[in-house]
Amino acid sequence: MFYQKNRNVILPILVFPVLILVWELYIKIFQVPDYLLPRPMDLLGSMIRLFQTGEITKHIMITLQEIFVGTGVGIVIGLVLGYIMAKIKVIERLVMPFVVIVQTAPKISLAPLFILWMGLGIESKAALVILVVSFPIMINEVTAIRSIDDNAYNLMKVLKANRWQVFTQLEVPYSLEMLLSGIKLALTQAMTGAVIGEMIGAKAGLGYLLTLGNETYDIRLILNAVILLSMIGLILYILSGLIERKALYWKELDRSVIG
Amino acid sequence: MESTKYSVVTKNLGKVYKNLLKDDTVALTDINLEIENGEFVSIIGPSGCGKSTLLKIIGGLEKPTSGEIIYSDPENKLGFVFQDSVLLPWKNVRENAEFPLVIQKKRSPENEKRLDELLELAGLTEFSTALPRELSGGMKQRVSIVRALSYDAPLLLMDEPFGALDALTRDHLNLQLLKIWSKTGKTILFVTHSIEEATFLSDRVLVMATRPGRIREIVTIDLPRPRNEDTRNNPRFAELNKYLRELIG
Repeated sequence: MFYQKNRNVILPILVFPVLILVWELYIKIFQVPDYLLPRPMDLLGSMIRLFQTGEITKHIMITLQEIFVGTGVGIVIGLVLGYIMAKIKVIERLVMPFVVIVQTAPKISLAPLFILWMGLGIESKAALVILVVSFPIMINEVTAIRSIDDNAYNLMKVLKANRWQVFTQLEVPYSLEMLLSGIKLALTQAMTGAVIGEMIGAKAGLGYLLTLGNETYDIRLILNAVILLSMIGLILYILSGLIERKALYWKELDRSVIG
Repeated sequence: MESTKYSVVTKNLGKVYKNLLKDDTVALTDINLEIENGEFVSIIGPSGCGKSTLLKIIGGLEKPTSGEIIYSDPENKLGFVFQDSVLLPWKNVRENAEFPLVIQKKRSPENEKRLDELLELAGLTEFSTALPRELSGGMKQRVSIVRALSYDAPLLLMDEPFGALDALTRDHLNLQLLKIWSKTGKTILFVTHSIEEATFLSDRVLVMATRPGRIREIVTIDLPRPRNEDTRNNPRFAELNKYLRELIG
């Protein structure tokens, strides 16, 4: 019973020690030098030291700040623009072609521009995240509003609902659905945006540590940053999955998201 | 007085769609109707005869291009049941049925009590906390009917409400609708493409013709009430069906 229920968690945990063992053996057998791949225990030790000196928390906080500020603002901007475009056809016709053009270009390629304009602080990275997040949210919002059944609007009309009621009782809940399914994707993209921005130009953050480690041949620093980033990514993914399940209780959702 | 006897009266109602390059499309012309209070009237006709358009115009969802509509209810309050139930998926059965009261800010104890009675009447009490995705098509449509009745509008407009359901469920819901109708005393205007359904339910059946959409004949259904399963075995039931079928052609 216990195994059946938690199979999705138990299996990966069982594989983990095997992975560590293979890693350790690989280094032993092929005599891999320390500066190319440290032994697992060495890496763990360096990670613990990073936390003990407290140096690393500053970088983690900065990257998280960029992700959360950027995602938050990006969602609001995406929602507002998406709603306006869905409601006013003329604006959509005017704006949509440009949206499509900007969409096709990799938004990350704008990173150097943002850094030139806004400097090495968190502003440039937050701006990049806003850009990365707001586009998919905007497109999703347009689709969400468009997909609302005509008869749902007719129902509101029969009930003599005012515009505000149509907005809060019908349009917001329907957009929430699209928004939440988009948020998981947005968060992973937000992290990519923040890290790449940091790698191109920053004074702090996990992406900055990646570049620093690269320039100083510090394999431990690079690996630690990568591990921390994937852990942040995993936590964000699980968190957004939880929020989605809480908010979309009325929908059949993919249950593989969490354990 | 005319205004007290009739629930809805339409005078020379017409609807024309303007076309840019072709001739205008006349969807409805010269619709003169007198629907009495508490009457059950069905509208049938070939597809494209404008029966749904007529219902939408009476429901205030579309504007006529000519003629006028007189409602007995000064606020012209009415309930509308659509072909698809249009339930809000995040609200459970009771919340969906209660939705009009929320929108119109009429959540008084007596309205809540009437709502519970209606849910009981529709056999939905034990499902009141179920979500729409857990319901069958027939149950969703029952919720939708209760919702349309929840704010006690005197007139109920139904646009092929059982069109998407299987025959057994449809027969069952027809009986239940008659029960609700006789208990609440509403005036019902019912659009359907099933002749048997129209005959079974109605006091009068409005047969429409196409191109342009107009009234061909209004047939009085003189089957005894209350109607039940036996009504379908009544020879008069078959006669009326045959007559209506020939009218539609």
